[in-house]
Amino acid sequence: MIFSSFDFELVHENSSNKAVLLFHGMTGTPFEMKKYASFLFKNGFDVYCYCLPGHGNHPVSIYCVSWKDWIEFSKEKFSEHRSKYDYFFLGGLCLGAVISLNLCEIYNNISGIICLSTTLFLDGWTIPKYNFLMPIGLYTILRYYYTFPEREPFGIKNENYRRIIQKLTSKNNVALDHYPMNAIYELLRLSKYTRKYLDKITSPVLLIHSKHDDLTSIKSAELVFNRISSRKKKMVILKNSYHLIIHDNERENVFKESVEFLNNCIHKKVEALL
Amino acid sequence: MNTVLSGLALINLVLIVVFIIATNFINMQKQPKLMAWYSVLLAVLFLIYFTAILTAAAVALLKKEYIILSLVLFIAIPFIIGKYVSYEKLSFYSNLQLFALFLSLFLALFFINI
Repeated sequence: MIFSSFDFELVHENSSNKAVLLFHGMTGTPFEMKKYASFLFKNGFDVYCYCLPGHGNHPVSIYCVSWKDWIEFSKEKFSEHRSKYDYFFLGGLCLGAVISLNLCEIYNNISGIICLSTTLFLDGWTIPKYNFLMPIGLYTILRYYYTFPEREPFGIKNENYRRIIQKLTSKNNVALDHYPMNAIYELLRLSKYTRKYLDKITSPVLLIHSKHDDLTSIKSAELVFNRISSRKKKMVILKNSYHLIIHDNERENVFKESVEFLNNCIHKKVEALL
Repeated sequence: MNTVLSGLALINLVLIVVFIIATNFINMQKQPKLMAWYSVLLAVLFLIYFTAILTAAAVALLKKEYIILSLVLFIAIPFIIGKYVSYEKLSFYSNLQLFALFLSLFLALFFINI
């Protein structure tokens, strides 16, 4: 069921037996996943993507949600679609990647997950120097007053794409142009909870992260890679992109790696069954 | 001791003024950048405020003026408020924080005079 105008469901007419449930990034909407989703769809996957609670409607609503709301919502969507497919994958960008990891800790019937620019820590190179004030900002009432404005390079190294995204976010049409501190607080709480149980993850995992991510350093992806118990795991490090890797210089590479990973998971499972 | 308490009272007063400006005269939705800068300023002032309280407490401990140690509670109050605050009750908790700041100012001035 579609609740927000940004939600989308790409479903093949002659039903596919494989699907991907995608989660967008913090302060974003499913709109940012559309191009990526379309590529997956063209390669035979049904794709679902919904607006997370607090996103996609009035800017104030993000102040009224917690990380538990995000997880409950994601669990609902997962349960809604899982049984329809033989192969069911999760994927996410930024906060979406953390949600995918969290679901993988809860459910053991996930065929694989794709983590794009996994954000467990906010330690990228555009994080302000006054970051040392973060504990006061996060744990006092200031959390509801401070917003971290989106600034150059807006997560995108390619200047042409950056101008397009900048125009879209400045109109608040498809994403907020700032990160409310409260949302950051909830992301960090979710991150702390997810990090505790990473060793429970046994599904195949693909991590794609930029070496020059402006919002979150590669430490997040490395931590996940080292802690999960998955036998099949792969980490791809990009060298010519920033945070929004599905919109940046190497997006074609991201798309191809994703489809290759998904198909490998299916073939390996089929081989195991034979 | 009076110098330290005077410094604390001064920073407390500045914190109250900036807090009132930020919470009553700036629209968070329409002026996010201005609010962001005021929030950073408030965070810096809170840091100085906590440092001033700890300094006063340290001097009070050396001078055995134990009643002044009660000011240390005011370091915990912003974080206790932070634990329970929600967007729906933001106005209430902002007033509560403001009340706590006025109370600590009153106490600092009281301790100067005794």
